[in-house]
Amino acid sequence: MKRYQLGEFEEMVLLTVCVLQEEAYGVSIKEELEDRLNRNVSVGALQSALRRMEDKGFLDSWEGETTSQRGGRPRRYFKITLFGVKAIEYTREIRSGLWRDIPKAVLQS
Amino acid sequence: MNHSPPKWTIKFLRWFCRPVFLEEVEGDLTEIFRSRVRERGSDHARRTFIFDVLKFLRWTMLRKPDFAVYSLNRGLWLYNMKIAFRVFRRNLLHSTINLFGLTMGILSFIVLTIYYLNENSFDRFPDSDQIYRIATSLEDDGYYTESAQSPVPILPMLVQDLPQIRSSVRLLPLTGYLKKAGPLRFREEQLVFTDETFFEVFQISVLKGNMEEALTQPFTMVLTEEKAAQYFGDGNAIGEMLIFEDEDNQFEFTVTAVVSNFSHHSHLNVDFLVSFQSLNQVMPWHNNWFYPTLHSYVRLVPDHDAGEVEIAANRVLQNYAEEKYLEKSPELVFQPVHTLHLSSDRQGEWEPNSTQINVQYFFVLGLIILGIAMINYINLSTANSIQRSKEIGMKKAMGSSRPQLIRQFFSESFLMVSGSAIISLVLLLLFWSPFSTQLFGRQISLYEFLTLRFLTYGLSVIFLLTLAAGFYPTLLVSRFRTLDVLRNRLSGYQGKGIQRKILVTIQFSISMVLILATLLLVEQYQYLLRKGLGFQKEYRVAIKLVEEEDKKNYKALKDALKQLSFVDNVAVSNTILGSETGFYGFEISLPDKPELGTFEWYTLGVDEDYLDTYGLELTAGRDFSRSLATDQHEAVIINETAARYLGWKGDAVGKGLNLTIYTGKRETRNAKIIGVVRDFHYQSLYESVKPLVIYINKHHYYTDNLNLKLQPGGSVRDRINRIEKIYGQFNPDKPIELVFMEERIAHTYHRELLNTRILSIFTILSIFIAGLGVFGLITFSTHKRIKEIGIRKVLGASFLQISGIFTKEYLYLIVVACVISWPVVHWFSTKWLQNFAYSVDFGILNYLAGFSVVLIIGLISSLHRIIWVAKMNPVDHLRNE
Repeated sequence: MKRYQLGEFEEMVLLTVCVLQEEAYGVSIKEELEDRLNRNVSVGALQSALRRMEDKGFLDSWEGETTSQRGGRPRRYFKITLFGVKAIEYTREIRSGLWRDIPKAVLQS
Repeated sequence: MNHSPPKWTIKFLRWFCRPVFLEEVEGDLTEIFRSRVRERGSDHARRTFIFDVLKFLRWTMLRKPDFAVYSLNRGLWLYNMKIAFRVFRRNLLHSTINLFGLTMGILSFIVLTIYYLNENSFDRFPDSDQIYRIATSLEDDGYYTESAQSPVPILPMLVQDLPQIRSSVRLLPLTGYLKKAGPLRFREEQLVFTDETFFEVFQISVLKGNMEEALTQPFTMVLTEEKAAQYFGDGNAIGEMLIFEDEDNQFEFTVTAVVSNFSHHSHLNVDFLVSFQSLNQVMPWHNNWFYPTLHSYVRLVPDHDAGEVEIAANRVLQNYAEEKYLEKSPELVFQPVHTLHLSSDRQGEWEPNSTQINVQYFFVLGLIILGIAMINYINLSTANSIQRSKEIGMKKAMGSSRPQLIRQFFSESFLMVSGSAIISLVLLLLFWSPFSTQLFGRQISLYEFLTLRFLTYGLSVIFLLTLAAGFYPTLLVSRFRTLDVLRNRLSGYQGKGIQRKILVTIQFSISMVLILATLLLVEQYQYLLRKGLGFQKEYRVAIKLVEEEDKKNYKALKDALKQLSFVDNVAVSNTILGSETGFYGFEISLPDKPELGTFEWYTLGVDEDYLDTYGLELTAGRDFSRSLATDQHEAVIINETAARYLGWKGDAVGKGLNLTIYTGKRETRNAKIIGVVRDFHYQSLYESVKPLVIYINKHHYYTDNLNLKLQPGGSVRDRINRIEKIYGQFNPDKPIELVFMEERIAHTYHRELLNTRILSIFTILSIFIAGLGVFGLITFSTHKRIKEIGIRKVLGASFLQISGIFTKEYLYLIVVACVISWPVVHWFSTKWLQNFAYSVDFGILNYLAGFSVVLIIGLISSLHRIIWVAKMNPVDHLRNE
């Protein structure tokens, strides 16, 4: 199922967008991700991941209000699309399928 | 405290970042910056901001350059291409001519460039800049001689005294027969006796065997791959025997190694390497200062100046060489090995070399032809674009910008140039191998040059040509003002036909120079072949006698050949005419002029039939006679130059002349001059005739050739067969070696022939292209003046008057071209003809011939258009107003 293909980082970003709901824009996604992953996320990597997923149709975006915080630049908010939801569900299914099939002995050792 | 990010980073970001992302990214970065300022202070924030920006430098974020954006704009490209194709189709004749001219130009350029590269690629192996050949210049027989070779003892002497020489090698080529055990034997011309150090100087890859020991023992031999296959097939040649036969002896050689073939790109031409020590048996007397001479090569220790080594070597020579050799005032010359092929023209070269200047001329010729093809393209497409003015006007009116129009015209010229490049490449691949041998006289492998580098250069040349060809028409067209175009008022732009005239004049001048150069070459060549040889070469054939038995029994063969119905006469001689080096110099003294002492002149040993066989004329005295017994040893005939040299005109006859010849021993003849023969060119016409003494010789040392005078006509094949049959009765084993004098003479002037061929082919091309230029010019000017002509016709101008108007237009360009080109040609031709001792008179008639050729070409190419305009119906072009 190639059309659902998600990289690991993309998956994380997509899930974070879902978590943040209405508040998902560049900096907030970055901070949330850094909190959870416990590592630095570069703006460049994040932006290109967001744009890439928007091109693929997993994300939708719109321009928000302008704030002085951002030096007069508007925020761009992101929201997951139905297609995006399908993609993360699909990924989860594959993962849980794999988890299910791991023999108990492996996990105990 | 500065609370804003560094300005330059923002600027930098704005410069490289894709506009789509910019707002968002800048916003994000600023927001992060602000929060960092709050948390860790502005210094830290500013520092990390720089890194953040730098981390943005990734492919997806980069702004793509404008042209790339443009080239992504496929629609416009396709549109431009489509228009280009349509224009091509609509103007089929015009475009085909244009394409053809350009193709010819590019093709000539490629061909001549390959020739140039090939000639410049000789002897460029690793370290070839450290390898030198030692040539000698000396006075031989009173003549200054530049020899490619040097005496046998020189190298060992130099190596002993000069530490700068790292290694050295001598090469002595001999001709002889080689065979395996059976009776079948092959004549081999490149059997080279050489020192075991050969591989230290020349790095040839050894395929089988051990190169360090390959030539250390006497009678060991190294074969090239090709020869190993010829003699031993696929089997292992190492350890096999080959038998070398010369006139009297047989020697057995053991094969010790097989090396890869010598490159075509080397002045060396070697098939077999044989250990030098073998010479002690093969030619026991070889170690002397006079004969034989051989090729000596040294490899210098790196970073030594060859000039200094040369001076040191000459000092060593003066100190240690044999007295008698030093009398010739010899001088050693160190020649860098990689320059030999293009710049060395000495006696005894391995094979005739090319000359640098010719090779360069031909390269320049390629450039020139490409140049006139370009001029043509510019002319034709400018003329064409005037005709397309309505299209351009329309486009402008619809809002087309100037850059768009420029792009359109460049796409057209790109299509044209790359199209013709592809066609010429295809033609090249199809016709190269038969063509190159014909043209350049040697096989040049095309595939060596069709490398990635060639293609890269090719592409950049195409690109440059596109720019060059498209530049002027594009500029002109994009300058058109919309209204002018649509209201058909282009006269302001057309009036600038002066550029076009200048271009056509340049074309005419170049063509004129090329035509005259070809004429000059052809005439000089014909002159060398036809005139002034002084002896008959048509229907003259020489048979080489090689075996000593044959030489001793030449008389029997001669008499048998004389019986043939088509043979008029047969004579024996020791040298074949037309040879540069084959004449023996013997000592001469004159009892009447003791003050001259003893000196050497060239001699020719013949029998009584020789003068008749070659139709040599006597200006005084008589021919040799069989009925006078004294003629055998006491008569000589000298040539006019010799007589003149001695200060005798007609009164040479009867004077005494002492001639010392060697026939195994010294034999001094106290002879009388019985006749003076009219000068004939026994050597080549490059050199002036030197004094010559002809004497009767019947000793087998010098009965090297039989010269046959055949009756004119008859089948050549049949005659050769019958001569061969007779020869076969005397020599069943050995194939006959026939020399056709006409061919031999032609061979001497081979280089002239090749040059003539190359030059004439490319001249024809250039004339052709120039013809296309005239066509463009006339198309343009007829179009421009069509209304004027219409009015003239209405007022009663005749067909002839109107054609006159246009003929005049290019006629005066041709006259201007003559004024430009004739002095150039005159200067060059005078200089070039000085190379020859005898040269043709290149007079005004030739110049006029060149003029008329150009005139006729111009006429032919403009005729169609002129007739069209002269016959058109004036109404068609006048009623527009």
